[in-house]
Amino acid sequence: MGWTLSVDYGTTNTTAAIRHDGRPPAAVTLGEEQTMPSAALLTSGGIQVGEAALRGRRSAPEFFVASPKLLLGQDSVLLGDDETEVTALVARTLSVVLERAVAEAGGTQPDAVVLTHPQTWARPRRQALEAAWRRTGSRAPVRLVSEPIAAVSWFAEEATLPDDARVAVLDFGGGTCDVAVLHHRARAAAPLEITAHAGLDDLGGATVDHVFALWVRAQVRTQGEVELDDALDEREHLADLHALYDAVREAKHRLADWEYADVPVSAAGRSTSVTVTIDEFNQIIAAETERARALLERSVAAAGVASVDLHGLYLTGGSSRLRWVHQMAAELLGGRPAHLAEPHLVVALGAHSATRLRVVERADVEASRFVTLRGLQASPATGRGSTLAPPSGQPVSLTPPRPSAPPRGPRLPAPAGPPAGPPAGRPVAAPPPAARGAAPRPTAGPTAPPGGPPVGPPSGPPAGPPVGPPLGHPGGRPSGPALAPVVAAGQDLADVLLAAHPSLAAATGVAPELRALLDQPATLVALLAVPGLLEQVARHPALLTTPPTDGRPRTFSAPDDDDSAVLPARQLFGRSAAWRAAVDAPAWRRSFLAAQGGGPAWAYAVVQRWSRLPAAERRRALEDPTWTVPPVPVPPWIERSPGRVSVTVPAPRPGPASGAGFLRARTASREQAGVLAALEARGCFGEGEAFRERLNAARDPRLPARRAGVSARVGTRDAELDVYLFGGGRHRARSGGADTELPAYVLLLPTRHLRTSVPLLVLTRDLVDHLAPAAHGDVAARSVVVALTQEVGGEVAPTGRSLTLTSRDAGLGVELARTLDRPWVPGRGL
Amino acid sequence: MSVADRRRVLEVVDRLCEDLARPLPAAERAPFEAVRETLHAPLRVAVVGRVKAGKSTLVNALVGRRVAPTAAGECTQVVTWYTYGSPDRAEVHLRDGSTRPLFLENGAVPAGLDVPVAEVRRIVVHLQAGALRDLTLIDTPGLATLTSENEDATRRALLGDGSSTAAAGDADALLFAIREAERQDDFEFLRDFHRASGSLAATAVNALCVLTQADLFGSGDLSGGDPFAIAAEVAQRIAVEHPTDFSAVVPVSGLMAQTARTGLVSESLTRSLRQLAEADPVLLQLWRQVGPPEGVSEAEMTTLWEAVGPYGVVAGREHAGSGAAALRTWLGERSGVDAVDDAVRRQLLPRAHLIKAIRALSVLSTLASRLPDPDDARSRLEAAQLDPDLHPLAELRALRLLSAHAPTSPLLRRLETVVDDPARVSEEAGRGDRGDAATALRRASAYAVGEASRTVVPAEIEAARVLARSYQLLARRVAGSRV
Repeated sequence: MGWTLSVDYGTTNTTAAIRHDGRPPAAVTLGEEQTMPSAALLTSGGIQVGEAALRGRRSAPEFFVASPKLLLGQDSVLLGDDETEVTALVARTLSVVLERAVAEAGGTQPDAVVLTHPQTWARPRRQALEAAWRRTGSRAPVRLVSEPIAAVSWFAEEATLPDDARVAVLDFGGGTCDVAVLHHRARAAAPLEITAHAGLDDLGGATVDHVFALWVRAQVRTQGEVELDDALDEREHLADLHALYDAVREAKHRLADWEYADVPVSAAGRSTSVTVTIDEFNQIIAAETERARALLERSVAAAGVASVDLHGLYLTGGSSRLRWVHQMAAELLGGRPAHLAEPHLVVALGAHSATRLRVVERADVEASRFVTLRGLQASPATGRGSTLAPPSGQPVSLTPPRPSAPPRGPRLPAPAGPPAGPPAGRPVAAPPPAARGAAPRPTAGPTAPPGGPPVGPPSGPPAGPPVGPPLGHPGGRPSGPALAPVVAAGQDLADVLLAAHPSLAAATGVAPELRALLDQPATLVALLAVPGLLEQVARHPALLTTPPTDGRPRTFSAPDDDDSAVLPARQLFGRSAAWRAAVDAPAWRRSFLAAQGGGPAWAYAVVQRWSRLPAAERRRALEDPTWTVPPVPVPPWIERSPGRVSVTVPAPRPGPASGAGFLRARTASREQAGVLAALEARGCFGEGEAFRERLNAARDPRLPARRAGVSARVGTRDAELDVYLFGGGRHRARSGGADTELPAYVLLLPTRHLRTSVPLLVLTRDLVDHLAPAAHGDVAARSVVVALTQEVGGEVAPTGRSLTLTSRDAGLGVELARTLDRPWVPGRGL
Repeated sequence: MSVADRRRVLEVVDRLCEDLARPLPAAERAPFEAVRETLHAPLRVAVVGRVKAGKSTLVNALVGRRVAPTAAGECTQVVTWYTYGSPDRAEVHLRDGSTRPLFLENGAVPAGLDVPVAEVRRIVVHLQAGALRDLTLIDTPGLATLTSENEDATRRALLGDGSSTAAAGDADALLFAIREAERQDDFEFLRDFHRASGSLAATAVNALCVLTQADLFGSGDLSGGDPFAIAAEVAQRIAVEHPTDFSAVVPVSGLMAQTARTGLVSESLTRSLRQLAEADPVLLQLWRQVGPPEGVSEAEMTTLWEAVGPYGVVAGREHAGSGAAALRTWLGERSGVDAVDDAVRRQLLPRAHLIKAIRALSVLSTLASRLPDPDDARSRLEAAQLDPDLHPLAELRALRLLSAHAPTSPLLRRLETVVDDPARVSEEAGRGDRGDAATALRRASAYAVGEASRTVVPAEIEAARVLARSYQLLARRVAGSRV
């Protein structure tokens, strides 16, 4: 069966998708995250790309190109003393993509190839891209599709576009921000026509990171760590500066899902950390996001469409994960949400659809790419604007190193700084194993499972606050340095997996709903059997916890090869030395594959059996690689196709309420009744609707709200809850009606995995007498007793006259008291 | 930048115009011819701003003639071009395409016209004035004037009227006149201008902000505060808040400037001023109420007052002691007009060919979509943009970004040098230890690649990438010329 390959070769990252005839396209696993950096590095052994190239950024900067795409169209670039052809750099990345795709597709070459390119590219650069592809040796016919067309095609295939629909694509990527407005006419020769487009070359993830980093550094100074901040400007601490930007990037990703993040900052032996809340973050990047908004509004206007008349707005590019972008899009669309699939994959996936739709690109209405930067000022006073400042101790001079006298060889003219420059000549081809360990990416530390997943380096913990175990799941606690695979016999399989993967356990700490998803067999099987998925989820739990906007289940696929087949065993039991030795031994692998098959089917069999295993056998399984599991029938969500096995995971949509009942004050509290009535009037409690989304639509999104995770004792049960603190303010009417000012209130919402969309309790001021701290066994967690003036819960789950909330969020009690304007009484808790 | 460098840039754009127009019938080639013509014409600098912002006064000062009507109650009603030509003459260009001569009254444009303003496209004044040899000044009706027709005329002239001939307006660069505090819609207009003036729009590269009536800032000299010092603070604030809009913000007294530059500083005027040396500054300010000081006639006082204003009278007295030349020099320097002139001649004129090329490419890309084969046209356009000879355009753009966002960057000076004096870069490279300029330049290129990898500032990454290419191209040129 033939297949087609699409490649979205981006400024920062590259993604690809393969499509077998008659089946939907699927992303190619190019690294940890179905994406690889587009960077290239010239070494003595040739050109290296992807993560390997990134490692050379610091050790051999003169041989490193972060974005070869930006150079396409020029003939060559001087790396060291080599005139390196730009197409050769691009081709190397494309070759790696092709190799991986061929491997995933079962070893055959693609029948056809689709390459995507920016809308602004005309023939010379399109030809350069095609020439680069030809250098991979592939002889498949190549088609080129512009990125916005590909994106719209993807969404158009997913949901049928009505005739005469006008849609816009906002591609907010790592280095660029582009908007295209398209017109769909079903019966026209060209069903999709670009009617306007515009872009900014200097707005994207990188500029957001930069303003964010400047803010973090300003905070570091206000913390009194002036020396630390100064050190970051010194040449010898360049690695620390780059590490800061990595941390800032991680925090930015975290803020896509959470209300705050911590950024660790260290240099010259000093270190600190800066907390940023989502509201602060939105303010920090306001100037950047406003530029994106202006670009979008202008392009839509240029196409002659009123933004509320757009049928849809599609978001692509990694930076469109920023929540502000969603808000802005919803505002533009008159309250409707924008479409966001997996933004980094949409273009690659949609390229397949685009080739089937007959699409055409019309002349540009707004051809110019103009630049209006603002708000990104450097502060001249601190020399903050430049990271190329001379090393400390040197007089600051604006005189550039004169090209007439560069030092001999391709060395840096930096007079100080231990890495005085790359070694003469090219850097070595591949970092030695030791260098791998010293890679700039923080590793998971001594608790990282050795011989872990075969794909990529072990991923670090999220840059958030130190994470403990998820509440109520002691099995998820990362174990200490001792690697003894002691797992309580009573543990279920998810706990075994969490114990083996501290990074995943940490992720359940920051995203408690992830833990509940692990109880789904499909999710567990996918994490065990799909290479790279576990690492990816550990870094971005939202990948699994956020319901896809289209509501469709997600499908992950793994290559059908021997390494992938033994992966579940490695993932699950890799903490045991015996298992580690076994999975690396050819003889064991052969017999395992022959007898048990491995892969998702084996993982599913283990998942099915585990809960029924007696404790002794569980213990044996954890230690003994000769342990086997009898086969079970393969469920329909595991699908085999030539060369691939895919696992379909149900969408984490909150289901109907189960168990957790809604609590009202028995004798109506006036404010609570008012808040409930207002929320009800706005349809927040509508059947089958997600409460959070409804609430977001009702509440002015600019009003601050704070969120924290707690576990609460409700009646006789403990429940994992999200607490939303809301200081009061305007709520929008659903349609037509007048807006309402609501008093301060606090919502206790079940976390998503309780499968209810209804809040457990709405606390208003008149319901609360006072709040007080309470002792708790776990030092990391703190309890708050909310003393109620009235009994709440009625018949469903009486809570009596107090409510105990337990959280790791230290300031929660005080903030609750402040929000509700009730006394915080330290002495009266117990 | 050498003549050869300039020629190379203009040749690429010229050729592109020709190529794009070739498939068209002769009758439809006019817009392309217009682009070519503009390309070789002197740089067109428009003075824009609100009504009564002192635009015409500034124009007079820069031209060196009192040719634009500036009397109280008068205001510029139509777009007026001041361009080099001999003998002095003027004509009115009407919207219908016809032209009629305009009589200059006492060498100045008359305040009133005998045709309805709405029918006039522009007035063109040809003057044999040295200042106009390499630039054309465009005076405009104020923005937000009482009559919206006037404002429309300004927008049309600068932003284009939607017709293919004026796709991106007429001006290459802007002097943006602001009186007192800037207004938000002024800046919106400015942004419109930048968009209209080109894809690679080097905004701060082609716009200067002039803070007019700087001699009236604060409460004059009465309180002892120096109005120019206060104006300088305001200018600094505007510069900080709008780093990407202007290459500089200069406080200017149009009145003092006009007097200094248009032959009004006579020995008799200087003598009148000298006679006031001993007068009490407070009484001088109030002379209309208390009468002129002893020994000075009311007529003399009026002349002085109208020529240099209250600040000029009070502060100019100590410069009147050694004759008209010294007073004129002081007025020119103090008024800020020298600084404006310097900025125009140092920042705009040396890069005029680049500014023009950027604008031309922008107009061409708009025109391209209307050609029979737009894809082919855009491909030709892109090929031209990728041409090494047009690499200076990328340099200018990178320079703008860098000066706005990382003004302390060590890359700034290097980038400026490759933009303005690439020959010197090659020459200095050749003076290295082994005198091998090509090798030295190649090393500089590789070094710049490394800088792009090391820095975390987006504007520096872009600047280093562009510089790497600049040095690489220079190395090739040096190597080529040696053989």
